[in-house]
Amino acid sequence: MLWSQNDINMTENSNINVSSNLMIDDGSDKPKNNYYPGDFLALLYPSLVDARGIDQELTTRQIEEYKRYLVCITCNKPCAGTCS
Amino acid sequence: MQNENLKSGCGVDFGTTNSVAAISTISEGSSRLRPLTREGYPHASVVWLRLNEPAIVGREAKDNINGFSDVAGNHFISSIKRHLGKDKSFHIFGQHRKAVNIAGEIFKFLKTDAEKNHQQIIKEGVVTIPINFDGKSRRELRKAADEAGFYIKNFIHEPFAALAGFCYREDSPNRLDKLEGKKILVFDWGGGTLDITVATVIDGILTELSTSGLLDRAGDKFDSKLLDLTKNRFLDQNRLSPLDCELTSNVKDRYLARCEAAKIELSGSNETMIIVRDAFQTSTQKYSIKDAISRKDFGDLIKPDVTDAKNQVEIALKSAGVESNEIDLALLIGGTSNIPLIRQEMEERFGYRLQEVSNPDTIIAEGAAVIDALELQPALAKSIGIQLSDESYYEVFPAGTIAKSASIPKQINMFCTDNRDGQARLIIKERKNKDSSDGEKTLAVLPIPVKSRLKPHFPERVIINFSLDEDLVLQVNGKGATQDISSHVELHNLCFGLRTI
Repeated sequence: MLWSQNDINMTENSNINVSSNLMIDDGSDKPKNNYYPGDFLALLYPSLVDARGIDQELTTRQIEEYKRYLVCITCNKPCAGTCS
Repeated sequence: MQNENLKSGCGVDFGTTNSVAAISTISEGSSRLRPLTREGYPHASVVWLRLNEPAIVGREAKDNINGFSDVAGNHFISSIKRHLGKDKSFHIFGQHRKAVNIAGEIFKFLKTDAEKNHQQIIKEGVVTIPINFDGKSRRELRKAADEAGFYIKNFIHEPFAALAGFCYREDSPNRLDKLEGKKILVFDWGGGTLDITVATVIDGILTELSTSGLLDRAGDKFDSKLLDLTKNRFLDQNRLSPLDCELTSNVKDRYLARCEAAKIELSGSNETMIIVRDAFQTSTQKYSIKDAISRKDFGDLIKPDVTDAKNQVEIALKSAGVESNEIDLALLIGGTSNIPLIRQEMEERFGYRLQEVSNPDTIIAEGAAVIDALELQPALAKSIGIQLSDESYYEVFPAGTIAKSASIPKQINMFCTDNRDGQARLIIKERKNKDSSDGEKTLAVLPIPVKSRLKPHFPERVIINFSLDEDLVLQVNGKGATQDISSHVELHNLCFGLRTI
């Protein structure tokens, strides 16, 4: 399967923005945590999203991604606040 | 080819309905372009295959469709270019012949004719292709040329070659300098394809800004439409069922040849007749077609196609980031562009900026010949790269990369940052400038299988290979470290500039 620009015009005809999940591997042993989406990182390392350390361990974007997938206490779904 | 001061080049416009070769000779201070036509007309891309006789190609083959298509031991093949890249073969005289072999006959003819005219052995040259000619079609075209002993040094888009032919004509020196910074649109609607290029000249380098086009939407399709119109009118008038009156392939050849002639006549007159003797045969009677076609009838018939062509102009302009009124020059070439309705539409759009060329039948081949003589190489007009997961842009091939130098695969090691859906997404992009997202375009999204669950500390490595092959096709392969299957994509709709090495 291949999506080409003829099939999907991601900027004009669709509100779905396909994003990449690939990053350059420079071969170093440096932690790659900052490249994972926030919600995925929370699944892998739940301790990182502890309220005390979240600001230090996650980037702003990752915090946003993590919060977007938090289960809402009102509707029990990851509604990102849209249910109220 | 000959001595050090004299440079010679060969260009071939392998067309759906007509083909032309041209020779360009450039020596210090002078240049000469010679289209190799027959009495000023291009060679028809028609192959006449005869039992136990050599094939005949060109005008002679076309002129004999009427006389010989019904005679046993004769087989005519037109528009072979349409069948390239589609694994098409023909059953002729009890044998299967591939489309590549038939196309090879046209190349052999062009090569022999060029050698006779030019009095020199011609072994290689530049060949033009439609914008949307995919990788497989290009490979088959190359194979067809190989069969004729002709090596394709480079492919070049047809409208872009026409622009090169326009810029380097010997009767208008310094035209390239005069076009510096100007925006040019080339509208080339030929016998088989519609091809549009928006281009400019940057520091003396002819550069494509965008391309667009339609395959299978021109010349001989219009002939088929005329055939269907007259056939259906005939069946209605005579209250016959289409099942009673099927066209044999030989009659269809004659019928289409007459429709093509009628189409050309309608460019100069308001009405013409389509007469085909013994077109249909029922169990009791033979029927001939005799029908008058007006220019309006024909205009109504092709109106949807003309609308599509106008949309393609819009797409090309939009993709180049150019408004219609910013176009300084619009060139109208190709046989189908002679149809009054199309010319009128283009005149309304571009007004005085629309220019017809004096050599519309040969300008593409001439441009290719000049490109060969000047040893110009296609180089990427835009940077090609990957969008990373942090939304930054990683450049793989910078703008200006000569296609041949990018033919060695470039390996990029990556890792998947989110493997929950078992798929890595490689987003291939094209940018005018690597540091700015202006004019950014997504060329393709290639899904690469990865293992959906891994331990947190070991993100899956994904290896990507990029190369730009000799057919100007960007080949991209991607494979996850844990998977046996690799993903692959070919991208052929790239923009190029013409550089010297």
